[in-house]
Amino acid sequence: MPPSDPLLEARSLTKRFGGLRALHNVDLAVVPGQIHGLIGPNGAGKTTFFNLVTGVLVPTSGDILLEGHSIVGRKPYQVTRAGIARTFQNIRLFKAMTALENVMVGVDARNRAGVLEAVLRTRRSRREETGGGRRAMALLGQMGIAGLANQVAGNLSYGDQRRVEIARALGTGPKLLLLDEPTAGMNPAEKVSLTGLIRDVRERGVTILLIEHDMKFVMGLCEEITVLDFGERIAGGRPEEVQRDPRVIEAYLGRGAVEGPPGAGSSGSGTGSGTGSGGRE
Amino acid sequence: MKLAGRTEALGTWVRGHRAAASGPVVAGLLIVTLVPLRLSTYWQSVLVDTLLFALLALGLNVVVGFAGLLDLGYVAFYAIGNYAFAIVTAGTFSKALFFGNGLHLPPPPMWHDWMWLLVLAGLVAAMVAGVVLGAPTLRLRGDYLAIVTLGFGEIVRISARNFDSITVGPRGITAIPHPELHLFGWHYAFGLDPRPYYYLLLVLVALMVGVVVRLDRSRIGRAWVAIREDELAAAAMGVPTVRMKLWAFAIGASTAGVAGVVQASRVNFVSPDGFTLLTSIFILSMVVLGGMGNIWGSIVGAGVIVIVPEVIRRAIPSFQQYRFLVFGAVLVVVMIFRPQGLIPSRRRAMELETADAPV
Repeated sequence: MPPSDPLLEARSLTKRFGGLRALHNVDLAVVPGQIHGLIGPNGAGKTTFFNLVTGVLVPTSGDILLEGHSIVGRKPYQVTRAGIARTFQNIRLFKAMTALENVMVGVDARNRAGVLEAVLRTRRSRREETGGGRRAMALLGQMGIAGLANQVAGNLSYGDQRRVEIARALGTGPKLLLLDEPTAGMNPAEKVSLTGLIRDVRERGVTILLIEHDMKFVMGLCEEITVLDFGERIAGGRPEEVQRDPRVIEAYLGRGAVEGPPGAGSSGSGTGSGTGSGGRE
Repeated sequence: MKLAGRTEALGTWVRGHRAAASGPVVAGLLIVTLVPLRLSTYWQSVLVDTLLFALLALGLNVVVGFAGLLDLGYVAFYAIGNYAFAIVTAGTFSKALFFGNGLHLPPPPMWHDWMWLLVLAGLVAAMVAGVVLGAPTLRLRGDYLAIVTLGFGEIVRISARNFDSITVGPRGITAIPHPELHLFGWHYAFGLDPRPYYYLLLVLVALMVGVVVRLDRSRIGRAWVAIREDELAAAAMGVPTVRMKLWAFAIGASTAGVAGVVQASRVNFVSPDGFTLLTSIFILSMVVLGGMGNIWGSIVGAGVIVIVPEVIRRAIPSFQQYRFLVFGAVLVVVMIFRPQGLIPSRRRAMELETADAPV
């Protein structure tokens, strides 16, 4: 496959909720091996986009292709098994399960032993069970929280819960990982270590599409960025291009900001990108 | 060579399971097998009832405790097991009655040879009913599912009342035969004696415990808990939620079906009055009282709810008329002071805790 063939492609994706137009004719392509950022002000339709891709919502029109095959109409669990895993904006762990059990639920997506095999404890079911446990432990290790494996997920710190959630999503063996605001509620130190973790995940061959509000984080991590505003794609490209795009600055800082000399424009210089993050709310 | 390998594997297995065969387990096994022999017939029957309800509670626990689906019509599957056995074995009788000649024909002798297959028939009939009910309704959540299952329970009971040609209506089906065993030339006929039923049910409960323990520790059990805790997240992790809920329903239903077959052959009689909503609620209270999602809790819950009223009734004869009053009061008190049940499951207790925690 030539590198230009997208792993995930949305073609004029539209979603209406009654009269509300949540997404309108959005085109988006995620190249394999990329860390792709999806940004935009609150209510721009970013999470709706994720919900459409993962089968939670059905598009009003348009198409979603994974490796060239349409996945519209598939149920969420089928989309997951096809290779798209996700995390949630407001962490949705199975709180009463341990961290390890949480990740094993993800790993189970790749296993096949059914009810009868579980009851008879066939060779396959035992192999899957031990293999799954090992894989889940390895993923927790990769996230740097192997020591918390037997802690109940609901008792973990916010940052650790995020890590468990990423490990759980990776357990399903995705080609594409969707992260919905992974840094929400994290302190600066945690954000830095998360950047490393996400790069590490990508090094292992998982393509990443992430929603994020923290501009510094996005600009430092993503290779390509798509900007949504009021359900429409208003810009896209490499971080430095997007940062200079007047439509993006307007969407984030309001009309008139474009004329104002340094402000948002200076965020392109890398160090000043905190301005962008400050401008959102 | 191959044989040696197998023997070795067997040896490893025995060593691995030796811990399980330690003192308390052996003592427990001795108690449950020997103690009933020392009791009066009356208490023996009470124990048979206990095991019967323990089996039912174990099945319902899979539905309510593991998968978190509130099923208020569980007794319907028990009824289907009862009637499946009754209609097949005493079919000639119900037909004779229907044609009005009142001939008490004995059931054809062949059934005594095939009777054990009928356990399977009861299991399959109830399982099919579970899937038929579940397929359209398991997309519903919480309260809605409870209402639909409640309706289903009533439909089955009312059908049994009115489907005269097959179920003999409210009079019920009589002359259902007791089971018989034919094993390598050894014959044993079950009769009115409660003891053989006790051991039969003991085996069934043990089997069910084995099945449920294994499911609980497998990906199936994890999928159920995941669905119970957060259905959307479960689906996002690749759990086929509807199919898994259907499985929980089918397993619960088939357990009730088997219990129904045993009960029908034990009391030789089936009538619609035994399958009211109250019975469903009884079984549900066993699961809740024992501790939802806990296997041993279901058994203990069944024991408490069947045995305690009998003990009190013996001690205070006038108690009979206040039975449900006291019963209800006890449930209220337990739920206030121990909402997680007598033997709580770790996860369920956690869920209650996190739900209470101020956010």
